Amino acid sequence: MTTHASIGADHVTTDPTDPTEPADPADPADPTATVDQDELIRQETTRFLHRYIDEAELRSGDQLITAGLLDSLATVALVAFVERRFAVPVLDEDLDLANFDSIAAIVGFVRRKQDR
Amino acid sequence: MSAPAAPDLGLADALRGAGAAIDREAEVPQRLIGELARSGALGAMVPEEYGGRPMSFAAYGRLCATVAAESAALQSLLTVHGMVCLSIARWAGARARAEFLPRLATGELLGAFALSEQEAGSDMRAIRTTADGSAAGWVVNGEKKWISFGTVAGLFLVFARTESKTGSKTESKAAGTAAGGELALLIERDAPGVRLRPAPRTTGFRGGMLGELVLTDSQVPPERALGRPGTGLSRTALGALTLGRLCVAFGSLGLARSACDAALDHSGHRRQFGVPLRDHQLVAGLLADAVAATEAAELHCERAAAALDGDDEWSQFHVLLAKLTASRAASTAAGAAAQIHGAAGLLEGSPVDRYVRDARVMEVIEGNTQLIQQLVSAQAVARRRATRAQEPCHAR
Repeated sequence: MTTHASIGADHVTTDPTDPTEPADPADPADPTATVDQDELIRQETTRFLHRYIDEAELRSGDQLITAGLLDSLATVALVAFVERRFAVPVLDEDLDLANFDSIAAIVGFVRRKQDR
Repeated sequence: MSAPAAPDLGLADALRGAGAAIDREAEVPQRLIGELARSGALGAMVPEEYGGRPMSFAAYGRLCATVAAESAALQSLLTVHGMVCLSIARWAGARARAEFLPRLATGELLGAFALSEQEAGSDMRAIRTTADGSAAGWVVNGEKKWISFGTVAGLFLVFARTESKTGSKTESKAAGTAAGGELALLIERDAPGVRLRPAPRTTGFRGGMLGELVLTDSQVPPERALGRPGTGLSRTALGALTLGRLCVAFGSLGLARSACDAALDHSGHRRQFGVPLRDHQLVAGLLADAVAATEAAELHCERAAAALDGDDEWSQFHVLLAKLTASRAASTAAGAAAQIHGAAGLLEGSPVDRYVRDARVMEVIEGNTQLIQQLVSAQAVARRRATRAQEPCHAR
């Protein structure tokens, strides 16, 4: 059935056979299971942000949106990345600078969502 | 020129010859809007549960190409109406969805997209229309311009900037904030404080029935806001514009095909210096460039639609690329057709005259060529960086 979900999808379904899907930290066979989850999210997010921001210009405490490091399209891509990579739905009420304006904020947002 | 099949909605008879009449009269006859509604085309972006007949992005795009091959102005109705339907289906609450989507699906209600203002064209963050929050909802003030089908639409998707309680304008912030920012609102034509006036006549898209919207203390109930303040531009407008750009890309493709057909036919019929025009090498060059641009545009359009239908991570990139290449292809093909027609192509109201005027519009609406180039470039850099990050170190 056609749902037109690719534009502005609010909910993301995950495909367990997709190698780009997030690893299950509880899986003992998963080598990332021993890696600190906050650090894993930070690394993944930083790697994504390097698509839009020069590595030399991105520091962990930077304000991504209010400082203008991300434009609108990049911001939408960031939200879609968080939804896909960490399998957390981003609802309208989640679209807040407090959740997306820094790497630390994104890590905190993902962890809070995952803990629910 | 041949093309991937568009869905057969039984519109062929209604569309035949409509382009010239729409251009001449500067309006789409109500009968033709009724035919579109009857065919289900106006419900293509509405979920089935609300009476829609949802199509894939590929099918809708091909429908846009088919309609634009006859009338680019009429196709723009599919663009803006589809953008409003999609936005409501994705971001409106249950009450607004139930109130508007069934009527939009049947064409009883036409939707229009009200973003541009006098000082806010490509720079959509420069909008000055304000939405002041109150216990009863929002109070909206401002003026919107360049609204396609604004003179006949019954429902407008309006973008406004929310204000703080002190009345000072809130800073625009790309991801949005809970405290303020841009907001998308549904405003009905006959609501209090709403005044519509026809826009000045344009050279292209003469049948686009452009309107201007003047909002004076217009009261909007809270359930007619899409999302929250701050999500209006980054989520709603950009999401709607993604569909809009796909529709404009396919519409440009349809226009380019018609222009190529006119050029190819005329160059075979018309003889100069004892041979058909197409046998002159410089004319053959015009034909080849027009056809090459049009065929390339078709590939980009189909790729973009497949990316959206497949929820491809880089669908934005492909849609932007399709818009860029197809709108330019329309200009190339229309220009070639006009040049090959010579003085006959200068006759006001001739098909190629209309193609040239409408092709110019395609390079302006839903992001002008220069803005789209900037966005394509930024997306291409991001894509390259993503690819490079996956390469082994020695390959970098």
